[in-house]
Amino acid sequence: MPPLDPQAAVSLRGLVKMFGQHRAVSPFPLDVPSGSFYGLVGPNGAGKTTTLSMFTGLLRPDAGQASVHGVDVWADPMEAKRRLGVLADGVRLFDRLSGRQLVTYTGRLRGMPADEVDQRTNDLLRVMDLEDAGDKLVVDYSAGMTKKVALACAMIHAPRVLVLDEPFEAVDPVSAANIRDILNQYVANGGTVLVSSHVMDLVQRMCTHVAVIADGQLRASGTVDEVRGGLSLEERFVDLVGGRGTGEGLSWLRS
Amino acid sequence: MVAQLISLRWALFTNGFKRSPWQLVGAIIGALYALGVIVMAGVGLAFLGANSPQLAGSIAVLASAAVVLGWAIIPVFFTGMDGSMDPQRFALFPIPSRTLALGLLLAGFIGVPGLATLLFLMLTSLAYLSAPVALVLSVLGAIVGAFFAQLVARLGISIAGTMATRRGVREVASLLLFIPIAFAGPAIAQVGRNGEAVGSILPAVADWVRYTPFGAFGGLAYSLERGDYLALGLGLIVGVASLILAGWGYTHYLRRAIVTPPRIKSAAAVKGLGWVGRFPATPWGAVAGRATTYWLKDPRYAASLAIVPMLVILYVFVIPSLNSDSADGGFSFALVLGPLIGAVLGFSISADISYDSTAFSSHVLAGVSGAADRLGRVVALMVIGIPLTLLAILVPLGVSGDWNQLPGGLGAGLGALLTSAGLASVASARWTYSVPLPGDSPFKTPPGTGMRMALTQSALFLAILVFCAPTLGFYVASLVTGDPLWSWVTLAVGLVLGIVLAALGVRIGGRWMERRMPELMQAVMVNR
Repeated sequence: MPPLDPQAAVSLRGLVKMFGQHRAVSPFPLDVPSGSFYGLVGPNGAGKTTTLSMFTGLLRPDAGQASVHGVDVWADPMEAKRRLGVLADGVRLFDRLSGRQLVTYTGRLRGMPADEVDQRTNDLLRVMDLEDAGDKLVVDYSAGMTKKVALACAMIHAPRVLVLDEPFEAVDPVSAANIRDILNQYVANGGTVLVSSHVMDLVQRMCTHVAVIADGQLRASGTVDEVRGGLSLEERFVDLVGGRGTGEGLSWLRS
Repeated sequence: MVAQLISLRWALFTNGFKRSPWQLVGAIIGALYALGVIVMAGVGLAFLGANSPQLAGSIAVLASAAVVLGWAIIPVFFTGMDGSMDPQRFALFPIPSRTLALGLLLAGFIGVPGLATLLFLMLTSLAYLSAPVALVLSVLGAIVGAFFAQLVARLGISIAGTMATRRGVREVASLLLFIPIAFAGPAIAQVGRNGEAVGSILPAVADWVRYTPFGAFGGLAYSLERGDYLALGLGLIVGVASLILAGWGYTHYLRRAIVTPPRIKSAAAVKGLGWVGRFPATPWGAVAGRATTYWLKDPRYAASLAIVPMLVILYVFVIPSLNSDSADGGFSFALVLGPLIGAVLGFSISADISYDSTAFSSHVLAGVSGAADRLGRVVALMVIGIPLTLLAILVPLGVSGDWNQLPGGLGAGLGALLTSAGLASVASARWTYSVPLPGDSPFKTPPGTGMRMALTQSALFLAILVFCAPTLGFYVASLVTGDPLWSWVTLAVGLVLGIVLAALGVRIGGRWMERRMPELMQAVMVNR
C-alpha cells in the first residue's frame, strides 16, 4: 500500500476494525482530494460509520493509518481534530441545552473566543432556519432540527474538512437544499466535504467524487463519472454491491 | 400469550449475559448470596418453630409482610425497575390488556429478585412444621403473596411513573418516606431498651399486621395454626380484596399506558446562554457551564441532590432521638454529616461520562484536553456542592450551638468534598457503567448493571475514605479533646490536602482520559 498522501484532505491506509470475530472494515487505501465533494456510499452495515469513526478519533483502529491534511490522526489526534468538523450519526447531543447554548458550547469547547462564537452561532442558527428555535431545548427539537443543529456544531470552528454521516436524513427538502448550497459554497472556497449517504441520486448530483463500500471493503472509488461509467450511480451501485431480489415477492401480502 | 411473554422475559434475561460475562458473574454472585440468606432464614425459622411455634409464626408473618412492603417501596424510591418489559413496548400488538397484565406480572418472577422473593416466602412456611394444614396453607399463601408483591411493585412504579413527568416528585416522595422513619426512631429505641419485651411484642404486632394487605397472605397460616378462624376469614377477605383492587388498578393503568404514549411536556425556553454564559469562554468554562445546567435540569442528577436533605434529617433528627439519653443528647453523630455529604457529592461525578452517554462524542470530536474536561466538571460540582456541604456543616452546629467546632467541621466537610471530587475525576476517566439514559425515567434501571457498578463504587468509596483519613483523624482528635488547636489544624489539613488531591485528580484523570478517549466513547456506545 502506498504511504499516506500529505496533499489529500483525508488519506486512509489499511484501516482495520474487528468486532470480536467479525471484521467490520478490511484494509483499503482511500484518498479524498483537497477541495472535493466526496460521497461515501454503501448498504446498511457496510462499514461506512465505522470507517468515518476511525479517522475522526471516535474509534481506535486495530491497524492502519489515517491523516487529515498531512496530520496523522492517531499520532497527533488533537491537531487532526482541529482540522475536522464532524456530524456523527447515531450519537446523542447534550440535549438539555437550548440550540443556541449547544452551538456556543461546541465553539467554546474548541477554545474559540467568546465574541467570535456568538457571531458565528447567530449566523449558523439563521442559515439553518433555527433562529426561532434557538432558545428551545434541543430535546424538544424534531429529528430534522436536531440534525441541523448538529450540523451547525460541526461547522462553527470553520474546519478545513467536513465529515458528515447521513446529514440529510429526516431533514425537510427546503432545509436540505439550503444546506447543499452552504456545502457547495464551502467547497468552492477550498473546503473539503466527505459525506455518507444512502441516497444515490443525491450523491450523483451533489458530489464530485464517490467511493462505494460493501462488507467493509472498497468496491470502487474515483470521480462520480469514472465510477458510474455511463450508468446511473444507482444502477452501478447495485451492480457493485449485488443483493437485488429475484422478483419473487411476498405472495400473501395483499389485502 | 402469557407463556410467550414469560419466554420473552427469559430470552431477555439470558441474552443480557451474552453482552458481558461480568453480568453473568454478577447474577451468579447475587443469586448465591440471596440463596444463602434465604436458606439460613428458613432453617432458623424451622428451629424456632420447633421450640416456640407462636414466636416463629409471628416472625414469619412480619417477615413476609416486610418483603411485600419492600416490593411496594424499594423499586419506586430506590432502585427503579428494568424497563425492558414496559407495557408501552407492547402497544402495537393486539394483546388484551388483562392477558398482558398477567403475562407481565408472571414474567416478573424471572430474575434473581422475583425468584428469591418467591423462595423466601415459601420458606417462611417452615415455621409451621408441626401443623401440616397450616404448612400447606402457608405455601399457597406464599405463592399468592409473591404474585401480589409483583403486582404492588408494578402498580407503584406505574403510579410514580405517571407523576414522574413532573420533576422533583420522586425527591419529594423520598423525603415523605423519611417522616415515618423519623417517628419510628423513638419507638424502636423504646423497644430496644428492654430486650425481653421483643418476644412479647412481636406476636402483638403480627396480630395487627395480618389484617393489612401486606401481611394478609402470610397471616392466613398463622391464624389457622392458632385456631383463630375469625382472623382467618378476615385475613382472607383483606387479601382477596387487595388482590382484586391492585389488579384492577394495574390493568386500568396498563390500558391507559398503551393508548397514551409517554409525552413529556416540552421544557421552558432558555433566554440567552444561561449557565453556559456565566463561566469564562474557555473549554473548561464551557464544560462547567454545561455540567451546572445538567445538575439543575437533569432528573438523574437530582437524585444525588435529594440524598442531602435525607441525610440531614437522619443525622440531625432521627439518630439523636434514638440516643437521647446519652451524655451529649446523641448529637455527636450529626458532626459526621459534613464530611459524609461532602464525600457523597464529590462521589457523584464519578458517573459523569456515563451520564453524558454518547453526547460525550462532542468532547472527543472537539479534542477537548482531558484536564479541561475534568476541571470543568469539578468546578460545576463545587458550584452546587459547596453550598450544600456548608449547609450540612452549619445545620448540626446551629442545632447544637457548639460553634467551637466550626473550623474543624469546615475542614473535614470541604476537605472530603474536594478529595472525593479529585478521586472521582480519576475514576470516571477510566470506568464507565450503565446508568439510566438521558431522558429516561430515573425509575428505570438498565438491565445487568449491578455488579460492575457495585465493584467500581465500593473501590472508589474505599479510596475516598483512605485519602480523607488524615483530615478525619485530626477532626476526631478535635472532637474528643475539644481543643480549638486541633480544630484549626483540621481546617488547614482538610483544605490543603483537599485542594492538592483535587488538582492531582484533575491532572491525572485528564491524562488518563486523553489517552483513553476512543475507548471511553466505545464504552458509552455499548451502554446505550
